[in-house]
Amino acid sequence: MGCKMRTTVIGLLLVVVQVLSTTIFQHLRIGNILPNFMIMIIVSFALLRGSTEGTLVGIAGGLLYDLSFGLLVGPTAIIYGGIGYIIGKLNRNFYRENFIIPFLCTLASNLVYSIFFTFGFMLRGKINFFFFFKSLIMPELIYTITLSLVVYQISYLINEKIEWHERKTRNIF
Amino acid sequence: MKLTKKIKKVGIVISSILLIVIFLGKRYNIPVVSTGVNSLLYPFEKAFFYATQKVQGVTDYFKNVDVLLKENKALKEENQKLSYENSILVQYKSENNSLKSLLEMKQLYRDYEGLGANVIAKDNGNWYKTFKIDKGLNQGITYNGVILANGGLVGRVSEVDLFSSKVLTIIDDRSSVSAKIVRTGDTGILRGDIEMTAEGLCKLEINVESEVVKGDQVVTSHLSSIYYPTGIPIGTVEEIVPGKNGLTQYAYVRPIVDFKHLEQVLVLLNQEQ
Repeated sequence: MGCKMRTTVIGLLLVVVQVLSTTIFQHLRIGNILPNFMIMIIVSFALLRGSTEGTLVGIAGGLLYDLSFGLLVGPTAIIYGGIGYIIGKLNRNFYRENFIIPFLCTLASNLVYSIFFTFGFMLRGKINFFFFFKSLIMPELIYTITLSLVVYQISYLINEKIEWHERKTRNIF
Repeated sequence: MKLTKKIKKVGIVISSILLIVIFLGKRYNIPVVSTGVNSLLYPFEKAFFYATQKVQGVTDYFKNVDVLLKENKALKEENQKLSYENSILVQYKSENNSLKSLLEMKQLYRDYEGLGANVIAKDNGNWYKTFKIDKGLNQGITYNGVILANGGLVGRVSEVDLFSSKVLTIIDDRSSVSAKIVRTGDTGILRGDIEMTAEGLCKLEINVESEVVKGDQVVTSHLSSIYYPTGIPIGTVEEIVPGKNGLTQYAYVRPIVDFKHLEQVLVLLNQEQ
């Protein structure tokens, strides 16, 4: 079963991304802002593989964050899962070699993610939207979409490798 | 992939076993799912932490010799001064104790046993400030344990796993502490505020009649004793801003702890349990 191989590789990728971004990538903070690596991975795999895998990767990535840092289990998993599902719907409409679409999709997903977080703060009475936009949402967005160009290439290569491997195993049996 | 009968059976068995384990964990106060995930993450985090520490150690060794020599000299001088002051303070302590016993006052500041821990991972989002330390249920850390660093308050343990635990810092937007201004004795609520988290400040909401000034020392109050022991230093007042409703004013407090470069912390162990 090639499915096993795919699960292992992507699971390991998610764990490594989560751990790197909480330890070494903390030195990458510019103006106290760290790009959102998990969203880049989710968007790339959703675009490459469709909404089922996008949702699963999203939920797994969100749970990793929630269980290691959130006070509640679930919110990030739901947001990431939803992003994976919706971006995955676009899978059929584009060529994989098109590198503008992942850029735009990352932009949209990061904006949605930030808006959800802003909503959480709004419920606690913090309604200074201009501040949120100026010093949290905008810098994170710019940093994330810039790096997404690189990360999409890497995910593309990883996916190619896995698919090549799957094709090989299928031919044997 | 088709769902055959066998896969369905295996799925049902596995999920029921998982549910039973989770409920057993609930019963004995062990968060099973998060322990599972965090045990998976723990070796990676610890390895990365160790590697960065080692690399930093090697580079610092060559970089810092000059600085260290100077610092050593300064510290020696300071040490002499401090030991002199300390001897005076010891006298004050004995005097204080004897006076207290005369007044039959209850001991307010108890001695707590502490346990050192390393910060192994920090929150990778930009909205909240939490981090993970490398000590957990195994080392005797409990829920709501108090975290200190450099003698100042850092926060409290918000979740304990087997090997690691989550810490909610006082500059996080979700945390609140009952605090007291030492000079005037006014109590107020110290909250983290998202707009000042980046600068490492937090906001103390206090009565408008309080005569707080810049530079006042802030400690945890006697009302905070559920989470925090009384009299732990938090920081100094940096700026005072009047509130909008005319009943409160806000003091921006700069904590003693530098949250940006936090590496080692001290966990107070709860001795009552």
